[in-house]
Amino acid sequence: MTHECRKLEETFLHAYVDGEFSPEESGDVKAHLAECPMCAHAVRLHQSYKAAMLRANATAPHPFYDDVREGLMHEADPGRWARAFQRPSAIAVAAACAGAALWFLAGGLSHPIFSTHSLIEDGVALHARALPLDYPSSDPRSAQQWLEGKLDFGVHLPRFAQGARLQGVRLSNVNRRQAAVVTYSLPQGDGRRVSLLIVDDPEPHLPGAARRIADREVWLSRARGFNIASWRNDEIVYSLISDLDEQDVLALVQSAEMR
Amino acid sequence: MLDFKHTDRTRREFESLSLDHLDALYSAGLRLTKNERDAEDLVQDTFLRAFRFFDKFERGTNMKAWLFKILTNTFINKYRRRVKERTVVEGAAREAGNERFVTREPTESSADPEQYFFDKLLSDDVIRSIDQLPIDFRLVVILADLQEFSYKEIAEILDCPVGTVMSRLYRGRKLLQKNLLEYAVASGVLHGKQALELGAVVEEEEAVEVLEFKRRA
Repeated sequence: MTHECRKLEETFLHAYVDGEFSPEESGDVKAHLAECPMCAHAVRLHQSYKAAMLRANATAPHPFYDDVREGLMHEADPGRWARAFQRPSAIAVAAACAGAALWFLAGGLSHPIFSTHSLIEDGVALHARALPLDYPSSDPRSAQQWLEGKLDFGVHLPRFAQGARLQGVRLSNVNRRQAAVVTYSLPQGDGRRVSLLIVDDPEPHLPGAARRIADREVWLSRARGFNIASWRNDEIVYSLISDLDEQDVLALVQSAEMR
Repeated sequence: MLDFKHTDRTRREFESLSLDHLDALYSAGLRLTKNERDAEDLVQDTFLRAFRFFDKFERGTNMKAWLFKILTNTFINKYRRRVKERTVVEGAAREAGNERFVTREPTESSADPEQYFFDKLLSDDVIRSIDQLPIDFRLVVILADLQEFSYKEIAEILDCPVGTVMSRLYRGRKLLQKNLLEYAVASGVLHGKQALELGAVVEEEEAVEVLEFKRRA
C-alpha cells in the first residue's frame, strides 16, 4: 500500500484496526477501503497480526488463583491500623482486649504502627551519625548507576534546583529492608548536610502530616530536632532528613526533579 | 474497635473487582518476566500492593488499567534486574515451560487466498518474538496487542504521552514482525515468494521513520 496509495499512512490504518476511531471516522476509512485494495490489504494484514497476538495469551495455572486469594486473606485491610491510630479510644479498647502478650504475638516491634516510626527513627539516626560514604560522587548519573547494581528496587536520584550538591551514597538497612542513604550538601551555612533515605516501604501510610507540594503528596514530621519530608515515587519512599527549618525543607522538596 | 467486618467487606469488594483480571495480569507478567515463577511472584505482589492501596482507587474508574499500572511499576522497580540475571540460566527451562500454556497447533491452513502469514503462526514463535523485544517496546506491545488497551490507557499506565505510545508501538510491532518472519521461514511456515513479498514490506517499512499520528478530519 505504501507504493501506490499515499492517501492513508500505515499508522493511521493501524489506529483504525486498534479501534481508536469514532464511528464516523471509521465510516470514512471503510469507504476508502472499499475502493483501495492496497489499504484493504494492509488492514487485513494488521488484523491477522492482532489475532495471532491474542492467541499467544497465557492463562494462569489454576492453583495460582487460590494462592492469590489466600495472599489477600492474610493481608490486613489497608486502612485498619491508621484508623485505629487516629482514634485514641480505639487504641484503648484494642489494648484492653488484646493485652501486651497478644501485642507481641501480633508482631511486637515490627508492627506496622512502629514500622512507620522506625522509618523516621532509623533515618534520623543514619543522618545524625554521618557514616562514611560507600560511593562518593558529585554526579547523580554515576551514583544512580552504582546503586542500580546494589538494590533490589529501582531508584531515581532526584536533582535539586536549590543548589544542593550530591556528595555520595551509602547502602543501609531500615527495618530489615534494603535502603540507600544519599547525602547532599547545601551552599548555605558552610555545607550543611541533607540526607535522602530511599527505601521500598510497602506500608501505605507515610509518617507525619500530608501536604501537596509540586504535584506530589509529601508527609512532614519532626524527630530529635530534624525535619523529615517523605514522598513516594513509583512506590518507593524517599525521605529527606535535615536540620533545615520547615520552609527550607519544603522549598527543597518542591525543587526536586525525579526524572 | 478494629472492624473486622469492614476488613472482610473491603477484601470481598477488592476481589470482586480484581480477580477477573488475574489471567490478563498473569499473561502480561509472563511476557514481562519470561518465566512462570517470576510471573507468579510479580502478579501476587501486584495484587497485594493493589489491595494495600485500594482506598486510593477511585470507584467506577478502570480497574484493569489501575492494576496494570501497579503491575508495570512493580516490574520496573523490582523484577527487571532479577529477570536479567536469570534469563541466561533458565532460558532452556523457560522454552519448555511455555508449552504448557500455548497451543502448538497452527490455525488450519485453507485454500482461502485471504489467508495471511500471521494466521499460520505458531503461538510459540509469537511468544519468542515478543520476548526478544527490548523492554520499552515489549511493554507497549503487550499492553496494546495482548491486552487490547487503548493508546490513551497505555499512556496513563506508563505515564508517558500518547505520541510516545504510538511511536513505540509502531517500532515494536515492526521489530516483532521481523522476528516472526525469520522464525516463519526457519520453521517452514512461510516460503519462497511469500517470504520475499512480506520481507520486502518489513524492510521498506523499517526504513520509514516513526510516523507522526495524523488524524484526518
